[in-house]
Amino acid sequence: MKRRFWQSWSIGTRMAFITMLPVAFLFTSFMGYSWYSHRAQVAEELAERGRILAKALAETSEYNVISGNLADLRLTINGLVQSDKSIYRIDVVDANQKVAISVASQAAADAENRYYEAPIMKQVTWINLFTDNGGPHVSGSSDTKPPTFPTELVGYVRVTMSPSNMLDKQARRFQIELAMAALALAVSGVLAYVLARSLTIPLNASIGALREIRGGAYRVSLAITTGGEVGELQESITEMSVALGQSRQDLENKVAERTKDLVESRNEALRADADKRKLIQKVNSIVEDERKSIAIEIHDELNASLIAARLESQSILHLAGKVESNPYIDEIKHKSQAITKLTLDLYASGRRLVRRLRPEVLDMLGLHGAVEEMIRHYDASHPECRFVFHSEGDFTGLGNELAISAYRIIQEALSNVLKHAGATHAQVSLMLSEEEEMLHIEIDDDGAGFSTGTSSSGIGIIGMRERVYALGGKIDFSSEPDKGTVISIALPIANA
Amino acid sequence: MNAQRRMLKSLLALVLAATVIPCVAAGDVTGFRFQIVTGDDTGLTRRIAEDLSKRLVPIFGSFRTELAQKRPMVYIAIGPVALRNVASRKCDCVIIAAYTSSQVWRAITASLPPARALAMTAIYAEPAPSDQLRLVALLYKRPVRVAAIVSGDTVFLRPSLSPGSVEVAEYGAGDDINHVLNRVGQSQVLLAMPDSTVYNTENFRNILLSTYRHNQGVIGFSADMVKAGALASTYSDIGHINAHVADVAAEYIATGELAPPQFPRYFSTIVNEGVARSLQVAVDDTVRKFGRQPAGKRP
Repeated sequence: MKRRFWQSWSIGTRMAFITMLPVAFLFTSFMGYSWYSHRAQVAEELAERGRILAKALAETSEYNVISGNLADLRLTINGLVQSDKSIYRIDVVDANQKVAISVASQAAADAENRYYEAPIMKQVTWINLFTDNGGPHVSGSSDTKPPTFPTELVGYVRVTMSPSNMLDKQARRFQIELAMAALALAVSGVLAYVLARSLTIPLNASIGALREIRGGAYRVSLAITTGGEVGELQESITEMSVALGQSRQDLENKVAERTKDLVESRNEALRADADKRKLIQKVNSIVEDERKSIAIEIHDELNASLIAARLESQSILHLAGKVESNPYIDEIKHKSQAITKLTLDLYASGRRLVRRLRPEVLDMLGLHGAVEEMIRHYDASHPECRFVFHSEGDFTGLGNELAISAYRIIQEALSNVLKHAGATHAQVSLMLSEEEEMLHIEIDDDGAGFSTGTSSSGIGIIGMRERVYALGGKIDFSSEPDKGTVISIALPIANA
Repeated sequence: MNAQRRMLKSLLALVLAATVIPCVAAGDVTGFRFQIVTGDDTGLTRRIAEDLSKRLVPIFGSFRTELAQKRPMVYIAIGPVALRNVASRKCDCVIIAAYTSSQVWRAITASLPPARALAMTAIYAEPAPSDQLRLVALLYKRPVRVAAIVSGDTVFLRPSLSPGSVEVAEYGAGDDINHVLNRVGQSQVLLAMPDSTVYNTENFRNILLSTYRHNQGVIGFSADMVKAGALASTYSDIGHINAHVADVAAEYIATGELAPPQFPRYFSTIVNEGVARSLQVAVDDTVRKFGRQPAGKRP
């Protein structure tokens, strides 16, 4: 979701905007209205003054216009125009629109494009002047003040105003207002900053505490510096940190207990594993011994019997050759030949069985010779794959158990190469490091390989691993699909 | 026309009302009876008539009621319309005109036969010039130049203006009042007198303004003029005039001689304090209490 630009602002910036934005809007609106108001006030005041001035002059000009005594009126108007810079010009015209007096200001800069006009009316005071056709002539006071009525239009007063002077005054007032408003805005800004800090400081402290908690330091020290929601937040964080610390402590205790249990279980498992390996090693030893015993039995008893049986069968054949041939004799010859062949086959099988049960070559040639013999045998019997042997070191001092385990491991590995790898080249390396007191075995091929992470181990590999672990050695498989397999084994000599 | 009709109706109504007033006549057809004649039916006129009736009934009440219709009639005309109406009647009667200015009185009586005029007298509506001049003296407390503007209709007043103390300016038909005012501009006081040729509603305000600018005080001829802007004036209210009428009627009944037309005997003074301050005229209680009250009435 795309964030708006202000959503990434800090809380301090947001607070500043929240507090200052309305003030800025208010400031702008106020200044705009103030400017408009001053302009309007000038216009209204000019209009009002113009109307009042025209009206007042019209009231006072009546006598002068009627009497024709315009000099006094001109002096009065001139005094007015020169004393008030808002007046641009005053004209007095008679009823026929003929200009009687026209006085223009020397100081006013500009004029409005209109003038304010007031009619000069002849006023009549309505009192009883004892005419011969009225009511009784009473010189005493009547009940009301004698009224005055306008009767006849005798002229006009026209006042043209100049706005520049008032505009200048209003501009100065506006500047003062602007300065005061700007000062208020600045004070508001400072107050907003202070107030924002009073909120952001505890919030930042709270966020810092939360970061520490997120980082794992649950026991934070957060002072409650303010009230309201922020104070409640600080209090909650403090309480939460205490609760989290307690929970962590409980959890750690539980983990410690579980770890202790696991360690015990692991130790037990290790012990069990060691026992298992000892057992496997023992079993392997027993199996090897039993194999050896069986092989000896087969070699010494069965094969000897088979040789005796073959000899007996050959003797039967020989005896049968001395008798005249007849179908029975032929049958006997045939049967004796069959028995001879059967005993030979059984002998060969016995020999193979003996070889499998107990590589006697190992006893005769040692590990190096036995492995070499095994490689040669594999290479001869499987022409699709080239088997190569490489060795370094003197293997004569190796123990029997270590030698037979190494032999069996190599045997299993090569068996896997033949069964699964489909390799065209395989190499077995034997290196005896006397410094390390380790026997290094490496079997590599260029076969199909396998993924060590996903492929499940077969029984053969499990057996190899168990044999290695039983000897306290290490085994490592390095393989990728289509890139062959390298099996690296290190077996300690001392344990053997 | 409607106004005239209403006036006539009012006049007739008051005439009828007057006839039912119990005028008492003597058994040998001596004595007099009176009738108040009005020219309109306004509240002012009613007030005048009622007050006047109260004052005249005791005077004429000494005559017995028999043969009352044969006794000579004394008409009391209230206002110029009533005067003109009564003067036009042909009767053996006496007329006392009140609430009519001297100028109008002169205009109406000028066309009457001398014998008829002898049976008529008047209490003028405006103050006596002599009283006005005394008021001026009280106001200024020093000799001041007083001017008066008279037209052809009021030239008869010249004798009543003390020769030498009042500068009289004549105002002819077609003259510009401003020019006349300028002529008398050196005077400190303008004494105004009822003269419709000189003082009318069209120029009255102009006259007040002009005199004010000349720093002149106007001595008006009514309290309303003072309220409108004149400096001061003596004036006679309804009580003053009616008391004076009653005096004249009583004197006539007592002596059989009709007093000549005259200015009001009783009066009070009104001063426009604002105008006085503006003209720097100090007004004291002597001025404010200047007047002459009928017997039994405190000033």
